[in-house]
Amino acid sequence: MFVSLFLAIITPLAFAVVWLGDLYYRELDWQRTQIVLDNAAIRLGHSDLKIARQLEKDRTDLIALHQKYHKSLSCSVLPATAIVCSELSKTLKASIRLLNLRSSLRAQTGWSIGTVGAKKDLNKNGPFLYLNRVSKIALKQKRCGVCGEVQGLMLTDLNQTKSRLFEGGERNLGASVSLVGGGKKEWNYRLWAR
Amino acid sequence: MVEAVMLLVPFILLVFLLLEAFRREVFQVVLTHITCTEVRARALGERKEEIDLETQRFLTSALGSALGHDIKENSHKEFQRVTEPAELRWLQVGNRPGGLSEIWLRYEQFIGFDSKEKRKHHQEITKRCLFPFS
Repeated sequence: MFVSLFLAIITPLAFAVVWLGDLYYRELDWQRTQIVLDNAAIRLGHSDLKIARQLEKDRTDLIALHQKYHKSLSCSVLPATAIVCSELSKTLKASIRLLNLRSSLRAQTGWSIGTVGAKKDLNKNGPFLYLNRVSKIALKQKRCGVCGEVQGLMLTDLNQTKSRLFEGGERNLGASVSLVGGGKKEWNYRLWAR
Repeated sequence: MVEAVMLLVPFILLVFLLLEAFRREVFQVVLTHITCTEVRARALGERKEEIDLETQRFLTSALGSALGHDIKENSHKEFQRVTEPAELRWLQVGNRPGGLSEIWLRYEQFIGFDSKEKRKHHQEITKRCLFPFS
């Protein structure tokens, strides 16, 4: 009788302990996965923020160069300075275009580096973690209203910068990150719960 | 007969005690999950209605519709924002928290016991979760 009573207590107790252990394990795994996704999203946000700030800086530099370009154009009309100024305007024009191209390449490369880094982060922590974001960012070319020359690149549609990091499975775990700000506001990134 | 009853009474009491302990542990895990889900969602600026709906869905799937509804009715939630969503540059795991969520649950227990001059028939659980989790 004692043996059967002992078994009657111990058996469900053992099952309950195992079941509870599994419950705690799953809860901790849920938190761990969420932390991994959030951290990867934060790093991706930092990387994207750098791109946005660099684009802004490039545009400021280009505008400064553009003003010089306009001055050189206006002085190239004067006979006394025509030769020197026209050469200067050609050089400035080439520099502006080169800087504009470099800005575009740098942004696209930065974007790809961010994608690769985030994928590496996710792969390091599990095979079922995925990243969903555009492969290339669409940049709007700003041009001078007077001469039509390039004046830098801008991130227009901020929705395209939204990157989703998620776990493939029933738990529906995920995090998103996107750039916010621009215009008069300072650039930043923000995390979204889903 | 007397021996059987003497053996059976502590056995039944033990079963109830184990059931209570088991039930409490299940509630603890469920509440931990709810508070952590909520603090994250609210710190990141999700709408309260959506969070409540998500909580309801989770409770129903974890505990069944009747018990899930009961738990939702008998619990109180509190959320404290520590960092604004716009200041997410500070949001690093183990660093500055984005929010603190607390949930308090009162549930009826199977067996009563004497506590401070009155008989107690309920238990209370308070769970807190900080976001970012650490």
